[in-house]
Amino acid sequence: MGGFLLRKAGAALVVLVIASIVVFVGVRAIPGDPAIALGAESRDPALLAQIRHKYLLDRPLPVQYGHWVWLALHGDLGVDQRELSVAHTIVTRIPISLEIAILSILVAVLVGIPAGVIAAVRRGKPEDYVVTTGALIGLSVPHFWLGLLLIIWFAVDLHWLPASGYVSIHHPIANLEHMVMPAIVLGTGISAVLMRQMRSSMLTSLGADYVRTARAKGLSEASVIWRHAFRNSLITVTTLLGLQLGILISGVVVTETIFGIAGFGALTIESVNQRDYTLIQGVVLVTATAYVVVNLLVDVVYSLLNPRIRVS
Amino acid sequence: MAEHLLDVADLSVRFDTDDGPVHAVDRLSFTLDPGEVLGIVGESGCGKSVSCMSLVRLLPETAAISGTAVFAGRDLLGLSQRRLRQVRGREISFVFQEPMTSLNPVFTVGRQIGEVLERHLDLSQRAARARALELLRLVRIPAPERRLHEYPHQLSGGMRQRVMIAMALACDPKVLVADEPTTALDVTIQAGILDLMRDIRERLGTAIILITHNLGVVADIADRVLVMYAGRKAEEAAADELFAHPQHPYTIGLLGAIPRPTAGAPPERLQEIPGRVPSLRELPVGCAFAERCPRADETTRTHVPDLREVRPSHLVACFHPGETGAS
Amino acid sequence: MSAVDTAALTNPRARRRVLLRKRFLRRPMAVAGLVVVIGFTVVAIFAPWIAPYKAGATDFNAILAHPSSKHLLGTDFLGRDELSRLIWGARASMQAGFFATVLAMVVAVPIGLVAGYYRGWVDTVIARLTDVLLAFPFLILAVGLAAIFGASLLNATLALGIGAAPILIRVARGETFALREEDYVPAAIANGASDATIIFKHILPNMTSTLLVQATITIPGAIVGEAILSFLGLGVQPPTPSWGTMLQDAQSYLMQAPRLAVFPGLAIVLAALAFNVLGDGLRDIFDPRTTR
Repeated sequence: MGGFLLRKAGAALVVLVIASIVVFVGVRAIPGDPAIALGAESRDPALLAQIRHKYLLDRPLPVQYGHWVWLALHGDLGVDQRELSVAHTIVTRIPISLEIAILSILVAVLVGIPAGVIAAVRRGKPEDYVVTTGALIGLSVPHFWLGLLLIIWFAVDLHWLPASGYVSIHHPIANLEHMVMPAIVLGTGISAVLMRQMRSSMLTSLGADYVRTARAKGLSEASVIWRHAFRNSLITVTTLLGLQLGILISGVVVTETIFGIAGFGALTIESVNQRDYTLIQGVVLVTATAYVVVNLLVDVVYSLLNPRIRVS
Repeated sequence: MAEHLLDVADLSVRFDTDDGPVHAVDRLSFTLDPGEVLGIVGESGCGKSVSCMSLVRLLPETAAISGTAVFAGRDLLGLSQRRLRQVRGREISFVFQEPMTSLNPVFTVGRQIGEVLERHLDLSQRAARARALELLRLVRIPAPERRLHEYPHQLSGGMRQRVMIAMALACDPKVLVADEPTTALDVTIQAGILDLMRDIRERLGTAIILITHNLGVVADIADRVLVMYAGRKAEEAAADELFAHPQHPYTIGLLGAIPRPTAGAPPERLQEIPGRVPSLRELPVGCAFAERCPRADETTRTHVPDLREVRPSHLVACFHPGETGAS
Repeated sequence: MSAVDTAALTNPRARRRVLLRKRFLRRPMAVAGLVVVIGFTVVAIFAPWIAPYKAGATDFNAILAHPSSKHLLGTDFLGRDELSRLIWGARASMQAGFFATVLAMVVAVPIGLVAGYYRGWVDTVIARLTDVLLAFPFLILAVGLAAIFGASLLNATLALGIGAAPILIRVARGETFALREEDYVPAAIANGASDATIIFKHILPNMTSTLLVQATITIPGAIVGEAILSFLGLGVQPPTPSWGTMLQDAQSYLMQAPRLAVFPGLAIVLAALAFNVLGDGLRDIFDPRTTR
């Protein structure tokens, strides 16, 4: 297990370094003076001089890069257009996005996994067609459109739920009211993929020899399905869950935009619209890091679940 | 006369596929006595595995099973799923061909054996583990205490098969069905497994149905042998009798195909049986073996031979049985 | 001389094509998918001739109008005909869908071939990097590109293409692995064939069915992706119509004209669904294990 994780961590680190280099080069590739870009288009010579000094813009690129990474590792991601610390802004916004992400995953797992299992166990029967068709539709419906539709129905027409905004978790009920639609919107999109993968994985497991052995041992059908087949399928699905990460991140960004939630995702779009390069830099770097780290976590979970990796 | 442990009569299994029905087993009958070792021999696809699996309905739902299989007083084929589950693993157990894929990769050996014990004998986890240890010793696995906590992928093929056997014997079943237990193993390991099975029969008195395509394996350990071809019984006799006086041309052909090196003698050519097994979707009108049979004639091409007792306790389904063989 | 039997003359490739066609025709869903896909493609290509109005034609007398004989699906907040914009919008979506996929293939297939064929450390490096990048959000790529080069359909397409590449690399690599083991490879090597010949003459042609299936699955993702990016302002810029920008406009007028949010979305769903269904069908007919 150690070897497995070490290799994965190594690859993750490499990707992280590459990503940071890309981000670094990207900002400095913008036509024009990088100091102006980083200084939010200000022409104030004193400010520009300050920026040049801070980021060592007169030194060769590798030195700049090293210094920039050094600063980043110390939590200094610079100051954005409004002279607010980028790191601080990011840190305050992340928990909001995290909440959306977690609730969405919850919805996805609670809907997608049982549906997939049922579809596999009842293959060819009506339940299977319902699930498979549902998944197909779920895959083809852009979830942000679904979000708009839900807003129209539940907020505009029925006035049951708020159309937008966010309320801090200190007011749990209001908070949840604002989170329901975003979570459903994002969650159902992911659950469609999960449903399909779970079904496919379960069909393989149910056809495996060890399931035949389990039946030959006289175990109950429930035991065969859940203890034997499902437990094996879970391993495959865990890796696949990790693949949904990209969709989750994109999804959070879009969902926050639709529902007017000021989270990390919305920050991403704001930064581009305002051409706030310091902010963009910070946001992209943090996103790439988060992506790589979570991927690694998924690998850890996978290695714990799969005895072939855990004990070898 | 003592009652048979298992009495199968007119067992037929039909699979309904998209391309039409497949008659995997056609009116098969056989019996099994306590402590007896019955060898069922035939090529792949002759219905030997399907017939045994149909006894406890381990087949997919597309299988239509008819006939009777009386076991300990009740007809297995008429039992509900719930009662059948009480028979499986407890009174009739299976050992399959591929030990690597037949064991669940995510559970330890101890857990998998313990599972059967907990399910059928209602043992506590601790008691189950103790018994599992005993069973591992019974099947002569080295370092059994360690094996209990290991996963299938950590064991060798031979050891995995022993685990399978231990699992099958856990509840002291009356019948052990071993479906090609040694086919996936090295020849050197095969002997060990067969020894083990012989040992089990001696010590525990378990009746064994040994399914295989390898006559050599059967010669070693079976009391009686049943030869199947294209879903039907071709010949049945006590093992010694069958090997000494084979009657059906198919059996004779199979025996001719066994390599028998004799020291000092020049190597002989292996006798093959020409032709291929007929497709079970379109069985020929007459005797299924007619196409490949050196004794075929008009009758065999138009009529299906019945089973007849040609020698004492020796049944053959053939119009021209007899030892003098081919052409 | 007996008459030539044309049936016997049919070469295996032609026979296979006939078989595949028959299997395809037995799947009504896949056929429907194909029809819709062709429909959208035609609409996208012939938009200037099909659309009743020009994309930018405004009519300030008919703002947010309900569907009428003059405007079959109504108008938007600038009085532009919704139906026409939908038709013009198909261009952006189809373009993004096709070109992003083509880009992804052009990038991924060679890398996958090299990794799968030569193995060794080249493969290890490629495989590990691909593994981590498999799900990398194309959105972040788009954000980056938009930041540096400005937002446009081209940049969005680029981001989508690069985002879709890792999965295709994996597929191509897997196929190459398997095909490399086929018997004709050592035979070709024994005949003195160079690596390039083997790769292009033997391995690549045998991958086409898998690649085709993958393409049909990648395209809907790119179409939805383009919509998302345009919706967020990272792709097509208004006033150019795209189903995504139309939804962005609709968002501001959710109260007055909710129908403006419905149509573009339906178009996206239909297009994506059609490709997905077609892809599923293609996968089925190429799979030797399915019986029909």
